[in-house]
Amino acid sequence: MLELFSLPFMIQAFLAGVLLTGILAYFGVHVVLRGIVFVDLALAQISSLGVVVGLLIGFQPVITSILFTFLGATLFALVRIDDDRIPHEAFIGIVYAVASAGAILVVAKSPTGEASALQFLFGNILAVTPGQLWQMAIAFGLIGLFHGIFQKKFILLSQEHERPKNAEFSVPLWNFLFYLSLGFVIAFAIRTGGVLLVFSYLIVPPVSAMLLSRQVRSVLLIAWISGVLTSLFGLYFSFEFNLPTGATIICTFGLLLLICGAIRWVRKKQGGTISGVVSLKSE
Amino acid sequence: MTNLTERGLFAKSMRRFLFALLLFWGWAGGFVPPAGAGPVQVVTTTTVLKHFVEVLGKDRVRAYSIGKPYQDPHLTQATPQDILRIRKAQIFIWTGSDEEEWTEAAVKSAGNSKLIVVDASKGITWLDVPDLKTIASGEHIHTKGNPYYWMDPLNGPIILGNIAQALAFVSSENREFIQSNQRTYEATLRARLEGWKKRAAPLEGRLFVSYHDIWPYFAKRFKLKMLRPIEPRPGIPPSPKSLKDLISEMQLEDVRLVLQVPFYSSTTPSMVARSAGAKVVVMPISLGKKYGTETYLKLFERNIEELLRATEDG
Repeated sequence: MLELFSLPFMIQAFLAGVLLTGILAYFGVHVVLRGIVFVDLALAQISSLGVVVGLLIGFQPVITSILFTFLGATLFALVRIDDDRIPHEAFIGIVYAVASAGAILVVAKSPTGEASALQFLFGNILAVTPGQLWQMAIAFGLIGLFHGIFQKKFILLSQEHERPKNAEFSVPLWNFLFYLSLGFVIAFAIRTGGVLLVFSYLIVPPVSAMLLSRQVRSVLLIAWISGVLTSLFGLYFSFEFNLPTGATIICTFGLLLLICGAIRWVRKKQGGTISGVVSLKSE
Repeated sequence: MTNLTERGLFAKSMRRFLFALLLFWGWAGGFVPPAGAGPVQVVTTTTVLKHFVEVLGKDRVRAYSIGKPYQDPHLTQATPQDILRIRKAQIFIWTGSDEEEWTEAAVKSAGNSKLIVVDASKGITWLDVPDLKTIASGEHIHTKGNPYYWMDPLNGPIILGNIAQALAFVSSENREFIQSNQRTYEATLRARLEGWKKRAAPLEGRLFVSYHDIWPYFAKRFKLKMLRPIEPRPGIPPSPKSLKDLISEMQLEDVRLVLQVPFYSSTTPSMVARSAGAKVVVMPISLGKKYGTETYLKLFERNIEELLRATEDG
């Protein structure tokens, strides 16, 4: 474990893991509560679609990918299927599939396009640069600050599944702001970590934490700590066993979930109080 | 690529943090060994490059290839230990193709300021270089040309020369040794090539298709002709219509060969071969025991024999 931290690139990867945990574990709590865990994958696909469209029309692909991500966020915030049988996630899943396939079609028709063009969207956590770390710290810090100031609104929206009954604020507006900030964070995060890794940082720590606690504060705290520890151990395993880093961290997240599941099971056996309900009570 | 001038304030504080950690643990390690001590440490991106290093330096080098023979070169990923190896190495050799863009980040991460980075393609004549207009209109295409240049044995000496130059520079006391190995190997390679050309004479003018366009260099040297790739463009699966057109064209032109590298899926190539009455020939482009291609020479021997077998039966 010591040798790991004599290497600047490993320290940078670890810091990237800490930054990703900081913002994504927070958003993950919201995303899980709202029941929209695939929103991240869908937004990532939409931004890929943006890249290939940019290449097709000869426009800066970075800009088109950001525009598309914002467009997707708007879509998810504003489109509501007015039928209780159809969950919002169904819509998100459909957008995911169509955006992925759409990207393939656009590449097939573009004169110079190659599927490999999409790769530059997806970073490798080992290759993260100090410059990127600063960018992430500033971007995530600003978003975190914004959410910190308006936390009551965001928490209420997520706990009431985006449809609070007697809210004193504009629900569509704040839903829109939520998806917009999420899209912004994801666009940044996948450039560092890649799609699968970002999905894991977003979903696994909150779910693991929810297995252990029902209070928003302690769920967040457990999610943050477990995310940081998983980054540390994931990097360690990747180094020790000479394995690709992103995939190793993701499997370590799987291990984390197993451990938290086991703790929950033992607690329940001993007459613990956590029930199987997913919703959280704010203190 | 080798220096770290772009690192800013953050890197500085990072180094301080690192230094503090080292002091705290009273521990130091992972630094570049002084040159001249022991074999020259070389990291390469492919097995072919590793083999060339060993041909030149024999037991006076220690080479390691990040890419594995069974891996799609598009998907090579440097692990932390790979980056540590680059950090400790004296020479890093890559193919210089657009496919290996990942090396830039890996070398940067390694932070080895003394590293000599060798582009093995220096002096190669690239094939299928896109024209300027195509380059200007898109951002991410193979701007240099088709990346599989080592599949022409006559490019071997050029690659060998690039590597020999770096090895002799780093280990000047072995200069004579390296250059004499280079001459011997080049002579062997050229002699063998004459043999292969004779052996491959029946293949001359034979048409083939391939899923991915891997073979322009090989085909040029041994006078085969590619009809066109099965995939309309890299990474995009063919549409039913383009498959149908390809298959009927293959029947019309009597195309009997479907070349296939081991690391790509064989489902579509097999289907095409079945429908057109052609044969799938699996031909590796990397070195490894698994394929019976432990050396560069064996790579061509094996592939030519496979092609001959497939054409004789048919």
